[in-house]
Amino acid sequence: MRKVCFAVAMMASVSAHAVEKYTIDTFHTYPNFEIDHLGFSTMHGRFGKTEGSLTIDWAKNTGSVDITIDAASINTGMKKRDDHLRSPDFINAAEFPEITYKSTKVTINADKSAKVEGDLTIMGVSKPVALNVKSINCGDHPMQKGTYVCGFDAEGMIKRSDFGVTYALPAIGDEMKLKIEVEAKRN
Amino acid sequence: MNELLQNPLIQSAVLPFAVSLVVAVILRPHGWYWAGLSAVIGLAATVYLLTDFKFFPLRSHLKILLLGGGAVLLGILLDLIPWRRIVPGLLFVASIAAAVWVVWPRFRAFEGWQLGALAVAGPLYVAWMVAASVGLRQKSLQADSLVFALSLGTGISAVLGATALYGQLASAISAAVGARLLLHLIGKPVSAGLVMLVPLVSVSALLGLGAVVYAKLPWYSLLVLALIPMLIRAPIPVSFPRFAQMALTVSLGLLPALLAIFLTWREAGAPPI
Repeated sequence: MRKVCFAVAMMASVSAHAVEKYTIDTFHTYPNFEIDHLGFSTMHGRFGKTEGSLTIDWAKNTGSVDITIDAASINTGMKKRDDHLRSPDFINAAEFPEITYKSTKVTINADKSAKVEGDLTIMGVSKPVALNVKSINCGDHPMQKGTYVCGFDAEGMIKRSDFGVTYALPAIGDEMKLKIEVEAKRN
Repeated sequence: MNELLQNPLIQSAVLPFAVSLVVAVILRPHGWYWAGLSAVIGLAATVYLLTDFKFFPLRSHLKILLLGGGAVLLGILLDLIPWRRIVPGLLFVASIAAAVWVVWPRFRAFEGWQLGALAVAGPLYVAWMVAASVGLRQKSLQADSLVFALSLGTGISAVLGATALYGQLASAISAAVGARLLLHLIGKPVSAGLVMLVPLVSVSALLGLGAVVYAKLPWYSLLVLALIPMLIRAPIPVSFPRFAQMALTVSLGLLPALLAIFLTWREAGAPPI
């Protein structure tokens, strides 16, 4: 009887610790994008303000991602272009201040790579977007004692026209590469 | 062909001008204010190219276009029923409600005097423009000149103020009304009526307000544009040749429009192409 209770207690403990909850480190999480500019070059930009949370269930090789991006924090290194990108021509940041990504299915592979399926919402339009994660890297933070961190780089493709961002098509590319570098601290 | 129709110049200048001209010529002999629909249909051609007539999910510019569609019906109704003195007041109130609906998503972002300006000054601008234009419903030259100057000033200012989309829509209105002015010039004036004034003035004014709220158009550019309805009423001697009457009326409207464009350019500089 004592052995059974011990086993149950152990299982409960394992199950309680299997799902790890993390809060995104806003100083080390930046969604980036790349887009073709008039067929001449590839423009890069990023969003400077992101928050959210994620969970990792190592036992079941799954988890979840919930990210909220401040649309107005878009930055391509030129204020005037950024103002234009914030305008109704592109992401309409004043009217739709948040861009969100919520996972619907996360599959973590044995080599710690992962596939994240989820819904990306831009300007009120939600579309399924899959992100590939090369490797989920976790460990104790070397400079913050007692802080456990997981990080990864996620990458996927989106079509801006799917979200109603049709300005200057097809001169400015429709397909965009979306990259999100994420670091999150375990709660 | 598709490539041609994706050219902003075709979308916002050539197409609305051509459509408006053809429709005005067709509708002109039919009396009443039918020809007033010409510029509305010219704008509709541009709206079709830019939106495919898909209005959902709702965004500010789609709200403005939907309101414009409603304003066409309202304009037809008001032209059909006998004139009542209460009409300008009703349009004033309706315009305030429309403007508040368009800028509503920004209310949570402001407080204090900025919220007051957004909630009061912006809607007042739209309401003033619409109510002040009503008196020109039977004066097609002044009506066309008002809409032309307002939409041109709004369109170019919006492009400079970082929203080409609003700029394209407003420019399409000026191109469509430009076709009607051409008919005035060759001695074939076309009637305007509230069927033209209510939708085109309200859409132009709402695009201006939207460009302030959702992009970078300086608010004082709207203040200057608000002078157009007053200047356009300046008396022009009827003894003047037709061309001179038209040139003077259009020029009076364009004065504030050009000033608004200049002020916006000084603040924002050239558009980021």
